[in-house]
Amino acid sequence: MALLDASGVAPVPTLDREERLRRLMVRYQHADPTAVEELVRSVSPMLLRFLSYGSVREGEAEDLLQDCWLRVHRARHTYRSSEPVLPWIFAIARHTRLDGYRRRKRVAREIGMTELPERPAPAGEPSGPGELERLLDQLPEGQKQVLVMLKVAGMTLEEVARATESTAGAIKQKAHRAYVRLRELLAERDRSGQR
Amino acid sequence: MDNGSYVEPKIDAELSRLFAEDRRAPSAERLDQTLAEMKRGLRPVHPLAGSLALRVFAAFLVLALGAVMTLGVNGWDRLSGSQQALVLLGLIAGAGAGSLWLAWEMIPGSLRRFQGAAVMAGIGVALLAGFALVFPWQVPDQFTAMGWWCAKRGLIASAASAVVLGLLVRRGAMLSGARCGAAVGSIAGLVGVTVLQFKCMHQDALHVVVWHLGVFLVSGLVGAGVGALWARLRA
Repeated sequence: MALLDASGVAPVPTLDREERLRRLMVRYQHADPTAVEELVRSVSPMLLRFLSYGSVREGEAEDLLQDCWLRVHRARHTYRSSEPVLPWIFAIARHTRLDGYRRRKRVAREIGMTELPERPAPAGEPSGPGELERLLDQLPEGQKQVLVMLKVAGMTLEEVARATESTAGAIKQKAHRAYVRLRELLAERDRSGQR
Repeated sequence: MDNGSYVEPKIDAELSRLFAEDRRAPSAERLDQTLAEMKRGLRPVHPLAGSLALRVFAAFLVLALGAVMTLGVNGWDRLSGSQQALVLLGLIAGAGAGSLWLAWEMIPGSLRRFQGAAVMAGIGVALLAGFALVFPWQVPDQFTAMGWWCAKRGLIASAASAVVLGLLVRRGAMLSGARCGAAVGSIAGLVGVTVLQFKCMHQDALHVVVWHLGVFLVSGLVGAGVGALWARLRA
């Protein structure tokens, strides 16, 4: 069962999806290679999208994805079967993303640049940010992450709070502010006739 | 989408449309490479034991009691009932909050009921206020010399405790080295404060606030620094 529906968006989280992921994680902890395969293939699309949004260069998102899964692998003993899986994975993904950002800044500083140059997009792929990227880029990083987890991974507020090491109340505030800002941005977009 | 998230239907619909247009997926080669790495030497693991916070709290009690029994309780008898109650309440509340915080830092995706660093800082401030109100004010002779002597002992107890707690923490995921280190440092600092409150004969407000609570503050900050450095070296 795919974790994203046909339109590419996560459906409302169901007990089935949670239970399936939980069982995969438990089998993974017992060293079942087919469970590893199934877990990685089902969660990777939403993870890649989470790791891609923002000032992440072309191709770097896949590096981050691989890094993230290797961190998941090293930390797999910390997952507890009574807890939801996606917040556990996304907490690790969030720190992978943060470490990647810090690494880029450090490299740029070491070579005396304020920003690393864009890697050219692979042939055949569109370059430049799409409308969604342009909208998300105008949100603070924290709000961006909350939105992506809510919309792409279909997580609940409590699950996003777990993944972002915050409280449900704080996440609700962030989501509210993000939606208020998006309302302004979409209204501007409509006024300027981009739609 | 009614999944408990904040819902503005029009914005939500537009966001859903935009997200649905993003069809990015990882390349097959990269996934295969990642899976090969994960499956290499795949072996069963033992999940972290439950009640992690209780274990950390128990470690604090063992360390604090062990240090107190080793170094003595000369100072404790000098305290009044209200002073003893304040000290015990502050230490237990601090150790309890610190234990929860550290357990959350060790397990990704933990449900946090409060922000650990903020609560520990709050406990520090509450202890400061309590000491200032309940302990007598006087400036003793050789304030700095005696105080520094005291603080050194507290810091030694704290450092030794931090090493023991660090061994416990190694099994966790420790996503943020700085926060993990701060949590370890804070709990270890409370061990140092415990030793001083039981042992030290100078139980006046200024001495306790500066030299005893100072151990708690310094331990937390040093812990954060050590944790951040360790995470950076490991990366």
